[in-house]
Amino acid sequence: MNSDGIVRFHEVLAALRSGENSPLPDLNNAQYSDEFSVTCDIDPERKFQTKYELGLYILERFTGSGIKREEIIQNAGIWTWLAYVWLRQLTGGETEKPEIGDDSRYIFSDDFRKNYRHLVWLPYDMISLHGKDASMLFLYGRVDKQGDFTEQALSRMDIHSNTSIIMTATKLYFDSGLGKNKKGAQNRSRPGNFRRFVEVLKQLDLVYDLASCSPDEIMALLPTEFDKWKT
Amino acid sequence: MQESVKLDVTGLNTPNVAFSCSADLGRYNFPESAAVFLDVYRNKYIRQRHSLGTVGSPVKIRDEKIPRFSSYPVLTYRITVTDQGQGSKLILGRSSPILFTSSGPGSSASPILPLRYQNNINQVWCIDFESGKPVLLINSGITGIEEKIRNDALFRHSIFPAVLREILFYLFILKEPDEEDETTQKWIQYISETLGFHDDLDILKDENDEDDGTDSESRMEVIESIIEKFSCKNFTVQSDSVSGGS
Repeated sequence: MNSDGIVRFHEVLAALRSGENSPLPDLNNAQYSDEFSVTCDIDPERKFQTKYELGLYILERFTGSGIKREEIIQNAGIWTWLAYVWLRQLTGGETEKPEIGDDSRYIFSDDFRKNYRHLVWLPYDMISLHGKDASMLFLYGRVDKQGDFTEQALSRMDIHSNTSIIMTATKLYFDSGLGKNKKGAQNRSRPGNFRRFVEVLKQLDLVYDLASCSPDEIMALLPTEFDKWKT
Repeated sequence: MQESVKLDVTGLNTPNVAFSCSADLGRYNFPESAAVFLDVYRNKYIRQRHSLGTVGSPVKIRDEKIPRFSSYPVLTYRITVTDQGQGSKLILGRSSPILFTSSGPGSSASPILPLRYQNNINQVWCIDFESGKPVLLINSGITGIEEKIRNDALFRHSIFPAVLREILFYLFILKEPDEEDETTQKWIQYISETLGFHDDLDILKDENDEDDGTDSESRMEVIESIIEKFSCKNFTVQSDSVSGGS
């Protein structure tokens, strides 16, 4: 999507927010979009149950077309275009009253303080950076929801970019049997809850080089309040 | 530690950014087996870690390419020395971030807080916000003040936390946060990357999606936390002295 398309996209979001529910204008034309240098087929009708499914789909499509992460990860036009393609399901589906979040959820921002909020970019980023299963804690939910775990942790570079921390968080707070977070992980009154995990990481980061720790080493550094989450 | 690191960056304003680096840390009495890492980050998602070997067996990095990323203008480098004992990974030493702009490391081409000596002010110091960018004015009429600014930790500690408080108060409370503003961006970057302060930055930037009553009082609390972090990072206060600060 080019700059004209991005301006138009902002207008579309404003209109949806104000209650207009007319068909989405076609932005997939020369006025609003530029040709991408590599051919890669994307299914606009594809439905995703979770952010994980979405991220995996994009990863497979890009990888199959020979597109590398570093070539694509900050291409605002591509991520914004993809969000427009799937906008209906990113705003709650074909409902009469779509839920429109902040524009940064759909329009990729070059601002590093906002781009983790992008609903299409983040799943791809996490899977391509950390591997398929490492970041399940952040990706198991619906595609139109950002999720508390993301908001609380992924704005921080030292967490977002550290695969061992992401794996440790998933080990601690994700229940693979249920396919969702462990009960109480977001409960502030529970010892060792996720917010505490983020807090404790800040403290450990002052003393330990977490970037060179394995998940097991990070796990071993956690105080006893986290023991019950380890099982 | 920076003086023991040789770092060259080429092509900073082009798609082909590359750097070379070597570190000779022999004089710091680190264990020979301690690992030395160079972290390069351009923004929060672009962080690369490179091994510089160990203190006893250093490895040079030559013409390492940094993938093409956004137009983010600053590269930041940091050296970390880590104990590699079984299950340890303790940080033995860490350099301050080395900022690389198009003018080179630590460039003074565009300092975040220019300092100017003037004799026409009635205070020891004050901040001039007239241009929209804060400038620190120091009263040059005070004998020996330049020396005190450079070398007197107690004097600096009595000034700079207050300077920072006044600037943040101006940018985030008086003026209302404006993330498009270049000066605001630079200070947020300083807070986040140089001070390592990430807590509640959204409150400061008034970015919370939720209507949770974020107001000037909350921002003031965040500013005080930043001042605390700034002070801890730059000064050591003991019962009878103050040290540190640069």
